[in-house]
Amino acid sequence: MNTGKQKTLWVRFRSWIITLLVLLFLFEMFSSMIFFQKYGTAPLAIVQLIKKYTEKSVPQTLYHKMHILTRPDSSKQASIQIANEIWAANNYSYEPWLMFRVADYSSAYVNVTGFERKCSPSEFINPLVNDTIDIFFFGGSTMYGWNLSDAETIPSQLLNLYKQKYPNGKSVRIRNYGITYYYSKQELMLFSKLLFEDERPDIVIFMDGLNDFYPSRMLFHDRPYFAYAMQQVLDGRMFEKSRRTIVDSSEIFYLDVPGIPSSGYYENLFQKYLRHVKHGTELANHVGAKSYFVCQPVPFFNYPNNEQDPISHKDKSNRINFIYPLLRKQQDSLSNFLFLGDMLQNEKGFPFIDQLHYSPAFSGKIAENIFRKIEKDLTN
Amino acid sequence: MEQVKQDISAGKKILFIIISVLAFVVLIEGLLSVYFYRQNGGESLASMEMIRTIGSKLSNDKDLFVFEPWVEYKQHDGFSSAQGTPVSYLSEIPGDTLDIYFFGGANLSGIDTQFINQYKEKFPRGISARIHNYGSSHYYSHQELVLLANLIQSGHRPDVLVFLDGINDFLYGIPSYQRQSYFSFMFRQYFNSGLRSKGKFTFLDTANALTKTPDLTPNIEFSDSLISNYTSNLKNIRLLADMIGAKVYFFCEPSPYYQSAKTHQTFANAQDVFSRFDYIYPKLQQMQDSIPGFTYIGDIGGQNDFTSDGSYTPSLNRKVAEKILSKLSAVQIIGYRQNQ
Repeated sequence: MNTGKQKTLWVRFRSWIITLLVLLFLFEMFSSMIFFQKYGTAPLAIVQLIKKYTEKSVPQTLYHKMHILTRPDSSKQASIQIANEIWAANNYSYEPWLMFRVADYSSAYVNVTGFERKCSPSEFINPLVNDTIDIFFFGGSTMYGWNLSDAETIPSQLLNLYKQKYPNGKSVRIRNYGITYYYSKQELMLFSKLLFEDERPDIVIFMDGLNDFYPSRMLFHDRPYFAYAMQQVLDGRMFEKSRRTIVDSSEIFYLDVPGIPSSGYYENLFQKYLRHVKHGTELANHVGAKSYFVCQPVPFFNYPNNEQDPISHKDKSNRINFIYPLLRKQQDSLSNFLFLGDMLQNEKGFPFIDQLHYSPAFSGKIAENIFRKIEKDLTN
Repeated sequence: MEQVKQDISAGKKILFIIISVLAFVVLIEGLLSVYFYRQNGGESLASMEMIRTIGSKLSNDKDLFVFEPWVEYKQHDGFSSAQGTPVSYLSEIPGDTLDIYFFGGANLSGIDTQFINQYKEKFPRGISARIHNYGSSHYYSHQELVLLANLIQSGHRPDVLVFLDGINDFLYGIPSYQRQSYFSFMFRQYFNSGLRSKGKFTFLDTANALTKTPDLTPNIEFSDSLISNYTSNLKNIRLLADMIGAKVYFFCEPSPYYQSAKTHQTFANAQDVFSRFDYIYPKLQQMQDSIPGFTYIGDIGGQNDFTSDGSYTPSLNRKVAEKILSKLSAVQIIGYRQNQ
């Protein structure tokens, strides 16, 4: 009897324990759904699971292949080395006021110091002429030269064009302040910072479009790319000792803002960008510099060969197809504005080295167009 | 028995299936939430997260500062009046209303309303004015320069700019010397390590070191650098003000770390701070005439004009507002128009 009673007690105790554990687990499960949901990158964990297994990343061999394909005149080994060095340089460091920049990096083909991507060549000095023109280039990853060597970047190619055409011309020094993820406002803040440090360029060139209108919430909310991380630092948990990691919600930047009609949202972006152009012009004029604003080509707009292009991005962006025609019209009223959004219209080769960034040859074509626009300032 | 089975209607069966599917989906969602969301969670368990979330909501100290692009942070709108919210004095005299922007640290709180009250009293039919207070805790001249650049780029066009600085520029010597913000040490740690960290990240609070003179830099050399940075910030503020056609006035504010006001105060690095102010403030007073638009009012505060934490008392707020008003009316920026 005693053994039977003990057995019953044990069975009861065990069932209580099991029930308690199940309840605790259920509580933890529902708490996770409510309190951990904010850390997810999708509104439902099921969606996150599906995304995890359906997202495709470009395999390294294909990535190398794109580099080899777009550099027909270079050795395979050099192309692979550039590709590897670009990835190795893909790090960011904190920068007061501007939030971040590409971290310093040094290698054979990719060199970054402070805010500058190295230009190769970086200057053309004519000892017979006293006058030296300083040109600063600003932009995002396309100006930085993502997937390009120092010598293949737009500023480097522009200086080579100048040297070839005007071997007896004025001396020219160039600086490439293109930084991955930077957009028009951030570039203006960087330009201001340089002015505060007593830098006085003669010509400033801003090339934008991709980062302003593709991850468009940066421009709309006036929040740079890593703002979500900085925000999390100050959102009430700053003195915690054990937060695991900052949640990456950067993909939200690429979506339209809910609750705002598309045309209203696009119009707002267009106006904000124009305001940055106008303010950049005002600031440059005030310090005696010439300013140029270039609207860059993007695979989403006026690229009939996009479907046949094995490399370029295939999305159709309503946003850019709304904004770019409006920007095209600005060429008539803004003398320092250059619309290059139509450059892909007749392109049949490989204008892109990856989905969004320009190949060495197409970077050369962009450099040619910018050079034509500023040529009079270099020769007068 | 067969009859009982037949009693279950098709509608009930569908309802039962829907409820079962929903329960199953919720269960799967719950299990996946535990697995996926927990990976990035602030705590190891969601129940702990719940306790912390509720706890921080009840705490008054929560969100004293919020992130603000370009200037890095600002005081939470609920803490004091929202940054930039204007305090207005609309005169009966028709005409334009001057937009006056005040920049400075935490001490600006209270000076804006004092200024308007004194203005109304002294010039009852003076030019209309709106005071926008952009003061925020720990702000100093370089941060205010960046804030001004940002405001201008956002389309602001103030008529008059007033900068009240000194304490934060020279108290928090390290950020001012390196042209960083008060919280840069924090952002840097998170950005350079925490941002990409997959494991536990330990944050190091080094805020106390911000007031210290760097070990290998002599006091005088450090103080001279701070003066140089301060005057260079004023020069750049003038550059922007000229661009938009705004008048700009700088005031070197009374400091609790200078002269008699500093007596009996003890805090980390106090000796460093006192000797720094004793060196810098007289120098700024001497430089008064060589800096355009600059007024030194560093000596108007006595021992009783500061609270125990170094803030201004209402009487010092009045004195500072009076000095600013007296300067702006003397140069006829505000006050009566000449034809009035």
